[in-house]
Amino acid sequence: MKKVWEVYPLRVAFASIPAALIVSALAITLLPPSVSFWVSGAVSAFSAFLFVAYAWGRHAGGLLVAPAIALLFCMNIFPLLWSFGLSFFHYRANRLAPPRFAGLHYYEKVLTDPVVWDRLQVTAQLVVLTVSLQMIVGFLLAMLFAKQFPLRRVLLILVLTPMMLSFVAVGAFFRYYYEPTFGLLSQAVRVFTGEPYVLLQSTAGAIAGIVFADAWMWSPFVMLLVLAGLVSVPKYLYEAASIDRISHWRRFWNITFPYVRSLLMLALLFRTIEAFKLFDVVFLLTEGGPGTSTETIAVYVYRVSFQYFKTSESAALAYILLFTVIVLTNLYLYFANQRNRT
Amino acid sequence: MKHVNTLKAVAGGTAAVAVLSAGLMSAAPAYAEDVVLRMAVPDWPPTRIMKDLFDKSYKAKSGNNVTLEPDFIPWPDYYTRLSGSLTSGEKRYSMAVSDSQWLGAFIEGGYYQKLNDAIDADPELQKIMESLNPALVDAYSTYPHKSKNYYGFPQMPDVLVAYYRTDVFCDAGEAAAFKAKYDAALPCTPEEMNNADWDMVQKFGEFFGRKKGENLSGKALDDDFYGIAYQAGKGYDFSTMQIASMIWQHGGDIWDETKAPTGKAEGVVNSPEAVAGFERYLSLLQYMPPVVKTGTMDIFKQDELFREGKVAYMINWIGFAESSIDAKTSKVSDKVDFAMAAGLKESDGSINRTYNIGGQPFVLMTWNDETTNTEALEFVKWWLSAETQVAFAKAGGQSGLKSVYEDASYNDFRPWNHAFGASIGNQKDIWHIPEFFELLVQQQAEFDKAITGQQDAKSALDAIAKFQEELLQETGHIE
Amino acid sequence: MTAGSADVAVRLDSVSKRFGNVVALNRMSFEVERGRLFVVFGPSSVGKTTALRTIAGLERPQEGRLEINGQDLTHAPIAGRNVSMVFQSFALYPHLTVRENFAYPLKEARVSAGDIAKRIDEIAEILKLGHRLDNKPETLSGGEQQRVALGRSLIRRPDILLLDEPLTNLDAKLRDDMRTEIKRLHRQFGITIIYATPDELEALSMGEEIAVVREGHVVQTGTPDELYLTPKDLYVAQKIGSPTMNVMGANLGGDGTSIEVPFGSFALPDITLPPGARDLKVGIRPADIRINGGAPGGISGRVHMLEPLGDITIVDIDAADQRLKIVVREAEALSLQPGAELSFNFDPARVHVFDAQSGQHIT
Repeated sequence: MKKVWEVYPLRVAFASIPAALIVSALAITLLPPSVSFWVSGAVSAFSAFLFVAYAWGRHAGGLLVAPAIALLFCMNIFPLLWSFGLSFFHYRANRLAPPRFAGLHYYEKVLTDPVVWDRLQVTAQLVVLTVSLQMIVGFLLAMLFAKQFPLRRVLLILVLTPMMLSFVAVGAFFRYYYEPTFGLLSQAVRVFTGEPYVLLQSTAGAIAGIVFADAWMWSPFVMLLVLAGLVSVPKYLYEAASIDRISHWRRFWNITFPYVRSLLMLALLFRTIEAFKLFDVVFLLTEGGPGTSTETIAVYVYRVSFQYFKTSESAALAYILLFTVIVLTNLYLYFANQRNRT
Repeated sequence: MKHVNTLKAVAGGTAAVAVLSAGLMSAAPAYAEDVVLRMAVPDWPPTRIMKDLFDKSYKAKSGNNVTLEPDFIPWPDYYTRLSGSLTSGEKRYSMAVSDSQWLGAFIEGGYYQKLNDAIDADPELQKIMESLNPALVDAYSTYPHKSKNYYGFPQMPDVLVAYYRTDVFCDAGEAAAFKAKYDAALPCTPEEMNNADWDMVQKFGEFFGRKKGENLSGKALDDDFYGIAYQAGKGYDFSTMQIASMIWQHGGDIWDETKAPTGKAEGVVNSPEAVAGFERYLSLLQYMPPVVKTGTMDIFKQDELFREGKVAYMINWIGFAESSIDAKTSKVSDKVDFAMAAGLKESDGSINRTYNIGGQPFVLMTWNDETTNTEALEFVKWWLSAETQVAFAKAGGQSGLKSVYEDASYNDFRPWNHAFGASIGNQKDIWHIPEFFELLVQQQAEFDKAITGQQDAKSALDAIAKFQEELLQETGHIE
Repeated sequence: MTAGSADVAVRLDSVSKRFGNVVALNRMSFEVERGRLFVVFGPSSVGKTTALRTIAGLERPQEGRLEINGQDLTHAPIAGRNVSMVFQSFALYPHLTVRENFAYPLKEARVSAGDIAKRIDEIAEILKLGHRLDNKPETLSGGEQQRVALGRSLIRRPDILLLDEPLTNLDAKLRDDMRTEIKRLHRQFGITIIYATPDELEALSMGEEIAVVREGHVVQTGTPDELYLTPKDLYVAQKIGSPTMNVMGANLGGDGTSIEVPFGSFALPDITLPPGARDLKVGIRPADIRINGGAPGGISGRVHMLEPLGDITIVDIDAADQRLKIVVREAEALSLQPGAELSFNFDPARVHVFDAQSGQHIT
């Protein structure tokens, strides 16, 4: 007797993916959302079932991760695909009107919108500043903590604390820190100048405030990674170097740095992606002000999505951003690999 | 709009069944049902008090076992949480407290229930609508604005009033110095303070701005002190409420949705009068605590500064008044008094006090079943009964019922009530159209640039007018 | 001694070094003549590495004095010593190519680029690394890495080269080759080499002079022959020589002219016993014991185990409860089986007698 999994080859299961996509697309176009949701869900589930049935017996081990993948599919992949689909339709989440097909309308709109480009510029500015500051401070902190000194462990825990705080706590903290009447910063400046210090008054001040807060929170993360690199440098290399009478600078550059470089690049990647999505600190500290001079693209997406309820437009924008980040990441990985090979 | 027609049919049917069942009930003991009124509410005293009053005194006339289950949601999350629940389709709430500006968006979305049929079918509700202050009905209930379509009832009406420090304004030494400097009397009683116009407020600002170490009311200050404060925050509507008020007072206007589709934004929003009003607003910022320069002096910051004793005179919502006289939360609890917020002195000597309306209505949802809806309306009638409203006002709330707030005894409930009744009729509202948030966010950003000194009043209003003209044309609100 | 120290390259004088409670060097003293290949020998963690690190300047002793070329450099910085060191782990700079590893110390010493290239070619030629100059260390075999490490140390032309167990990380075959290599380099460069090793074979085959170290202290210094023939005490006697010397408890015979061991007694060799010494230990090198093929006068024993090593076989025999190792030629061992009875004898004159308490060799 033929077993279930021998009835069809794997390509049938693979073929079910485009079939499911087409059926879902049709369902979304033709049927009201409350029905098309279930139709799409059912065809996706069927497609998944084909894979599971195929794998049954052949790759039983793989099936053990099936629940996790199923969960991932429900919680992550499906909503992702769904919102991706929505970006090609006229749809607002606060209206009951069913989606109408819009093609690439929203992509065109977003890409030609001067507001979007302005927000991207603001974002790029913040990314460059905050990531550079984090890298420098994180690196210096790591150099410091790579050495042994009294109270090192206690200080290390203290330095790591910001990273573990919630964004909101950090935002609220810095809001008070910069506050001209009660804030510590202003109080300190007042000792010298006699005048309250209003940091967030100017664009430069607001950017500085955001960059400092973000760097305060995330430099420890860079430090952790760099520190991992620093402590992995075998001690005997330094001893060999001192016997070879190598200068401190050259010792750092040719012995220490190569061990840290890949981790540093990793930190750079993480922090750049994260900074690209900078939202919380901006929203809590300046709400994007003064004016819109610190409104990052993430804040703008939030506004389009949840304040203006332009669901399709925000989905299109979000996917363009996702695409940008993926391209940047891959470019980066490409260059990093090139470099490692030489 | 197919679903609206269906709704009418359902509503009509509901009313018929309600009448029918009311008739039946008088004849035979009704079968008591459990009805839960689940309501989204912001977490603050007016809603807490409502829940208390309900639990203490509400008894459904139908005999049903009705419970009120509010979800208390913090203010900063409120819009996101409510819109999230509504748009997700979970149909969790049968009622909600809603800011008046959200009406358009959620009515167009098909979430808020139109109440005309229910009101037409129920004389009691008609009576309530008539006895409410018309400004409240316009702002809280009508969509399109000032039409005859009704959607909401006042949960808590709020107005902008003046908070001031009696220890500062009623100090004899200060009064003498003020007199010497400006040849004018320093107001002390609420009646005197009610006469304060913007020129006077400017004098307050100038006169009471004191550095650390200088004297105030005969005592040396241990920190800087500031004359005045009003809202100038970038978040939500935390500058628009004051700026729109001052533009109206100076004879200017915002884009008026009731004049759609012929009403323009260009030329109206940036009219010379509007510019003058906004310039007046900006001119007073220099006398305020320095945080105003950052564009983050929202209503919460103002309130905090006042309670910390840093400010002599502040314009803010009445909703904050309770905490300013509570010794647990306020350093100035025993030296605060209240008056009507300042306005513009007209040529005839009267003061124009047109202000933006505050407070929130509550609304019913379109998906309520008959029983729930009937009980919800019964709850509304109970809430807006004179008896409940008096109890609410005594506990610290405000009432929009003329019979309640016009009664002489009302002024004795809380120290700021005398300013409420006098102010409520002067109120207008900004827009209610679904695009309201886009208008608001762009306007707040432009205002913020002006507040933080990056552009002048004219260029801010020009930019706003241009944006609104384009957006509103695109969306069909302007021809 | 100090007067004639012109040809003493390194002198350690009662140097002590403690790490917390651990004593690494305990009044260690030795002296290395210029141009010698000097071996510091002892089991692991007796202070060999610490001694080398002290000479290099990586550790500062708490007591004692270190002289290099007659100068007191006990507390001098590393830079002034002109000492180079090869670590057990080789310590090659992993992110630099072989060429860069070689050039690294020279660059720092401001040698001109032309000279650097020339010297690298030289050293690569000597170490047969010419084809590997542009590789990273991780792509090299163990022996190549070892040679790079040596080259990097030699290229700077140090006065003294310290080698800390340089062959421990290599496999057995490579060790043989590298031993030869190092000896060749030593001859070629003529520099002083101090070589630390726990391996007896290495020590004996390479060392022109050997210091046997025990617990941070030098027990005996001497040529391999000296150490083998006249070990200063039981420790040295048991460390030097393979298989290990047979050591057993012994008593002075009642007449004072013979020594009693578990399997009999023999005449006291020509030594001067300190007065009152009765508790003795006797050491007989396995190579000094012969099977006498059943001839009379032999001591009888039983074969316990055979350990054939090719040319020779090590035979464990039991003689009156005493386990003895002896070395026999392969041909002789063919007739032996475990359990077989045999008789053996030895030359009492070649027996080493030690004081049981102090372990001192009695001569």
